[in-house]
Amino acid sequence: MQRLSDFSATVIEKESMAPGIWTIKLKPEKLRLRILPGQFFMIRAWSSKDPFLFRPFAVSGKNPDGSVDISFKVVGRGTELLAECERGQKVLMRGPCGNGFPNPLGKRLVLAGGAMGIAPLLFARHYYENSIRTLLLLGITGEPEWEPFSKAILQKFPDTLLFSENGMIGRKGTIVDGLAEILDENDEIWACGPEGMFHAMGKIEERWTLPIWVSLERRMACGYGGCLGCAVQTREGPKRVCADGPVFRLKEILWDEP
Amino acid sequence: MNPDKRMALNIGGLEFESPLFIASGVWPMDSAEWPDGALNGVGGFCTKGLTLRPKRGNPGIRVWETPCGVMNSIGLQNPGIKAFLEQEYRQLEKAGKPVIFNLSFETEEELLLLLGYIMDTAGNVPVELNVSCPNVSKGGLSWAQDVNALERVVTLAKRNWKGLLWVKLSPNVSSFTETALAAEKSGADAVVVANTWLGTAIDVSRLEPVFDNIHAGLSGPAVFPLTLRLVWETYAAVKIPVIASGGVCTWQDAASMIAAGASAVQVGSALFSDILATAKMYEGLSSLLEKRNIGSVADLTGIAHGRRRDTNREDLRHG
Repeated sequence: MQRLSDFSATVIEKESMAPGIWTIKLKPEKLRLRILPGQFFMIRAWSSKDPFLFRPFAVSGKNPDGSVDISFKVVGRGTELLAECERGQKVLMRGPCGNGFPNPLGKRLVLAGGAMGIAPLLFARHYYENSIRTLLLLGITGEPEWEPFSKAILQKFPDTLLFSENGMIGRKGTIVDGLAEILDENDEIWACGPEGMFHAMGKIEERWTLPIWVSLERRMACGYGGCLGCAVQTREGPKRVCADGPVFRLKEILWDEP
Repeated sequence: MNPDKRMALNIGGLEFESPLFIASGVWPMDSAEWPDGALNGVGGFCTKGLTLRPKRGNPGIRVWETPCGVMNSIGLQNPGIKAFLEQEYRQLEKAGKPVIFNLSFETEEELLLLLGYIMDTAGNVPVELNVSCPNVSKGGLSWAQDVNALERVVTLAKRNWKGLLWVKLSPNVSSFTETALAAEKSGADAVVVANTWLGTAIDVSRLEPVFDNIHAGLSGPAVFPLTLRLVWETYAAVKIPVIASGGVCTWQDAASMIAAGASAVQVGSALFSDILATAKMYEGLSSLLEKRNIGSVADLTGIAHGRRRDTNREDLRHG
């Protein structure tokens, strides 16, 4: 695995997916990145010490020219500054961070993304396109920005199965309801989304024996496994989301324990 | 990076190749995870806070960004001293850099047991007593908040430890200098000035405290001037070496700490925003010595004391 480092990169493209949701293409300087789906980068689009910390972002795509795609929603100061970047602007990156998803063993890879959580699964979908059958699912809540976002995803991946909680687009219901309908016993599930979605998926894992891998999100300070700020409790004790994860077997995670 | 002999120093009889140390709690204990080049210019590094028994750490949010800083409430998550010595320390030994054992303890008995285990496996390595960690919520004041308790525990450590003994003090006390003097009197070889500054954060979207423990430790550039003041005052009060720790991010920060009285400097949160921060500080300090024709970094310690600003200078405006 490639050792993590800090390096600069240039914004070479910027695309609006929906109000407040962006995909940017970042081309690292002097570095050829080797990355797996599920790995992420810490990014800062400013050189000052304020904001003080990098922000973690999943990789949503990797391109032949060596650039990576980062898809994100503006949720605070750091993402706001990243969204303000224009083509040609330099940003700082740290990575590649984390373990990434392990090689799939199932006959079909079911990729289940809750809202913005679909980002790393878009990379997975592309990465395994020619080697394994994949199925992409997107689940959204009723906030208006997710409708144009869903359309943007459908435009790139027309066979995406879409679920909205209020039925505004796609089928009405949650992504977990949708999973229960389409699953086959030889499937393997990779999921990323809000924590509530993983809780609901626990029931799927109980009923089926198929493996479920999930990519977690946490506030992070270092991103290199030093500060222990992003811990999650597992059956094997506390783990770091940034360095031991962000991908874990769903059944390994102890949600309710401190 | 070119090693510079002028950067070498002696603290309490032990030689270090650089006055820059990695502070406790910011560095992975598995060398396979160390980013390339990040230990260049580092004189040694402090382990994460070690306790007698394993600790799972605090529940809830553990890190929270603030203007020019970060608050943390990790809760001393660590595998316990025995597991640390058996597994992680075996790796760290191979790093070729001095390892300073950062120790936390709730009773004197715990401290004695910790020192015993370390002696059996690692020998007389340097230790850093954490008498200040504000995150452990189990009853009562910290060691540093009660000068008598502080003297007792440092005296006990000194009697039972032949290696280097650093005491990492807490800024969250009514008289900092008093605690530094107490540590010196009780046999500390150096005082580390200081741990994180206690603060509070409210999540306004929920109108509730961010941290389960309500309070958490603030670090980063936001605390630099506060810690610089403590370094200045401690240097004026004690004779043992002062090791600065608090918001140092650039070589200018490190030089300020040293000029204010620090013999050495610990780098912590700075690594969050720049993994090569220490390496860059080394280069900067080394060129400062060169430019000013200063023979050794020790000659820079406390140099600003006794110097007063020249009021006839023309550069009194901000740039």
